[in-house]
Amino acid sequence: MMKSLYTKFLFITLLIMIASSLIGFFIANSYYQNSLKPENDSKNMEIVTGIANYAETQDDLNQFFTHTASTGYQLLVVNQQGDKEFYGGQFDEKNLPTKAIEKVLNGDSYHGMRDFPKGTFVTGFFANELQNSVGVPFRHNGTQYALFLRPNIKLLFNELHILLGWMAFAIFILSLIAVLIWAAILIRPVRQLSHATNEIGENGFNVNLDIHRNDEIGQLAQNFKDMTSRLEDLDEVRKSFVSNVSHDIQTPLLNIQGYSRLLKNSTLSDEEKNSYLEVIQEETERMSILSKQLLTLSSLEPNSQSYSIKEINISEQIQSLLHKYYWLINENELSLTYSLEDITVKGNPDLLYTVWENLLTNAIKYNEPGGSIEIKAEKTNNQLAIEFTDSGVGIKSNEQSQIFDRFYRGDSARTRTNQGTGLGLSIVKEVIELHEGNIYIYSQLEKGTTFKIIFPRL
Amino acid sequence: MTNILIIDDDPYILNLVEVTLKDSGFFTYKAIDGFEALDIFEQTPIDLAIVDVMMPKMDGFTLTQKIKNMYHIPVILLTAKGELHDKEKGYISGTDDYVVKPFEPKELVFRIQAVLRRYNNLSNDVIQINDVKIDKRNYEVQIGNQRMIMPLKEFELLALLASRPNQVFNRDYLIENIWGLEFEGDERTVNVHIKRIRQRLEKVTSTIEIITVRGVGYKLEVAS
Repeated sequence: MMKSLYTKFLFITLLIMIASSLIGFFIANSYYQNSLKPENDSKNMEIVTGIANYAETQDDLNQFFTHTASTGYQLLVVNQQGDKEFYGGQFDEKNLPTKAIEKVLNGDSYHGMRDFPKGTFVTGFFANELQNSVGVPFRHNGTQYALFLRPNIKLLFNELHILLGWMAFAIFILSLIAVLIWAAILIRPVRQLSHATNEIGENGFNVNLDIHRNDEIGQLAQNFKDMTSRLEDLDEVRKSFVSNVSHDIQTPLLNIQGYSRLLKNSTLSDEEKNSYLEVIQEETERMSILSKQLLTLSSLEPNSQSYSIKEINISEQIQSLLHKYYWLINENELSLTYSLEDITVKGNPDLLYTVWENLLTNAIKYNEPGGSIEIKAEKTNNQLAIEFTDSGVGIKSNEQSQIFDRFYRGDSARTRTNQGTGLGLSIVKEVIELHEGNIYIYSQLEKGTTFKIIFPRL
Repeated sequence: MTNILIIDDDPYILNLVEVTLKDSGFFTYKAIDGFEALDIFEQTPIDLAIVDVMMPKMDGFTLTQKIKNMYHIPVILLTAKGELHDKEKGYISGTDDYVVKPFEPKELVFRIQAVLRRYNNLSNDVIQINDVKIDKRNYEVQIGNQRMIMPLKEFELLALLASRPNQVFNRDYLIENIWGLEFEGDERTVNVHIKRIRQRLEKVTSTIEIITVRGVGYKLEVAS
């Protein structure tokens, strides 16, 4: 189930508002409880003292208190007999303890506001309770009275309440609308991107993405564009690679099919049979090499697998290679001179072995009977150099830049062989570059070829 | 006739090796495990054994050790590619050479011939003339820090000439000793080989030289 970003934004905004108002209330409340309450109490105490002093000089108490209450106070006057008289706005709860009244009648003052119990969800300021008042004694015509006072919050603050309420409501609604609009602006390019992604799946890489922004989303869009163009390039490479591979698999298969069909014919001479079998053999060998090389290539893809990295003794590796190919050198009537200094390179042994194997078999394959091969491994102060030189057919200068391309094959009429897959040297180059080395070619037609590999010395 | 015993648990490889070796003129025996192989050894004189490393019952290293302890014959190990790090283990068990699977039939034949020759020529393993060292154990010519390998026939020709420096060898003697009595080619083959050895040598050293002695043959001359 996909939840739209809109609903998420809305929900989270509401959550933030509720949470922040709750937290704000708690902070304000605790501020009131701790600092404002005593202040409020003493302020009101001053007022009530003033009123009480003034009341002592009045003739008509009833009229005086009615007047005073109408300026915004709620009053309670208790006489010695305990008769209670309320003036002004009503208290919601008349919960003043009798003890407190007696105390005031006895001459003490009452700090109900200061001593109002702390409550998490109760703001003492707004609690319209008789308990939440201040009281002082006064005398009038020889009688002891107690006067309790509380500002009439309703009267004083009613309009302010409504005003604040509307303001909060307006802030609330406007914030929501603003969040929704902002979310829409934010989400639009995301939707565009998602749409573009789908388009790539359906219509290929030509996607028009019209996002120009300077923020992270703009960056994302730019990265997306870069990625699609890279993917497009890769796709090109892959397509031509696949078509090359399938061609290179098809050709030998067709040859094998064709020649094996010819072999069924019983009227063939032994010589013909042999030459047909030779074709089949060569073609199977080519396919075997091709499949091996494809495997090597796939292991060269970045991130395809983490190949093991070791210290490799190059001269040992080449010597064991020579041991393996001695028979082929013998068979082709070649000689091989080698001088190998102890060279170690950090890298993958199998991949590097493939490099030497490719270079050596090339040097054998493109050589003439009686020819020679020379292998040198030298280290200087800042580099390691490995050279494979043959006295073979050489490579035309206009072909030298192409021989490292995948599936490029030299002129087969000149090289007298169709054994190659066109992958060997491209593998060599890729492996060498993977090991931070470089490969150079020096070749002269009919004289021979040198492949020189240079690794930086670490 | 050379008798070769092939020991491998895979019947296809067994047959392939057998056919290849028969075509090259060897006489072959087959065994599918080490115990069968040791039985054959008790009944038949074997000149060389080809032993697969990965076998049930008794592995190739153990079998090689047993063969080496009881008989004075060369052994070639067949190893899979992943077992290459066992090379040292192979040499410790006493093997004379190893061939990595999959191998070319021709490669195997070449190794067999090389190992057999080495076994029959145990005398004068190394010939040293001035700065040139001719090592018959691994068919290498060493000049300073340069090493050279060349086709077997050329190497043997050079080694034969170098065994008695400044002595003239006539062509018939060379053909008989290097190619064998049944050789059907003519003296021109010797000439071609000599020419190639000269070309190869002159690139690396000037202290020895093969001289043609008109109407007789060749000799290896040592520069003073």
